[in-house]
Amino acid sequence: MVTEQSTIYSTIPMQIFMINSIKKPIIDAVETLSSSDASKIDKVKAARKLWKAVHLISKMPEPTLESTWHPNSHNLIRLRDWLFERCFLGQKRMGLIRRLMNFVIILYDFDPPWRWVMDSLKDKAFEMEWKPKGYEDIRVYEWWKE
Amino acid sequence: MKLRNQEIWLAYSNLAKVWKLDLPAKTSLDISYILSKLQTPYLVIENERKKLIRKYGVLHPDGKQISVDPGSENEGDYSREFAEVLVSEWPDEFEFEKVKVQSSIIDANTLLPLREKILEVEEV
Repeated sequence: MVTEQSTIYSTIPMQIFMINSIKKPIIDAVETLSSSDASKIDKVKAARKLWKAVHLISKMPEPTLESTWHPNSHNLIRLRDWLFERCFLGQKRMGLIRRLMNFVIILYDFDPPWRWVMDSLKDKAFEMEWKPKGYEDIRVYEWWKE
Repeated sequence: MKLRNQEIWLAYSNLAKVWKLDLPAKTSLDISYILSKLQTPYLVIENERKKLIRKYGVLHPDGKQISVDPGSENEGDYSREFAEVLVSEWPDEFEFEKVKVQSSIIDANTLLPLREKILEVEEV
């Protein structure tokens, strides 16, 4: 049985790679991009750093039901696969969506504070009155297949 | 008892540090016994790590050292492949008893990977 401490994401090389080469550059880049004091050159550098970090997410093993431990991570994996059976945006956009979803699943699976934040948002969203998809949008999207 | 490769990899070097401390003779002997059981698996894992560093690392300008560039694509490949090694379980069973040691003589970082399966810590 896979436990929190026995997933591939909890190994030391994965932790070091994820913290130093993905999470920290993303946090630093977002900080610079949203700062009014940062120069244009700093912002361009930060955008490159951000893109590089997002690109490196694809170097992590894709989360699967076998490689994750938390039951809700398994739900997120099922949601990812459900989405990819229906959503057919351009290849580049689908690649970015998959990378970001995988990153969120990995974060959820091994990082308790991030899990807490995501669960809190989910709980709060469920308390709200949430409009269904397509609310006040009459277009038919070719890239969505039900 | 079964151990994952990461447990062996972390335990061996830290246990070797503990063995070098001024320990009662019987404790030292018991630790030596565990070290002897872990040595071969540790060397196998360490050799895999070095092989991956040679595969994904770059030679330093001094021509002597190879290391993997942090933040590079190669680091991603190295980390993923070494993680695959570490997450695997060593195929053989290990048979040894936990060794009792006093917590006051060992620093917390050394102790951390040993507490669960290798050492029984007596708080003094």
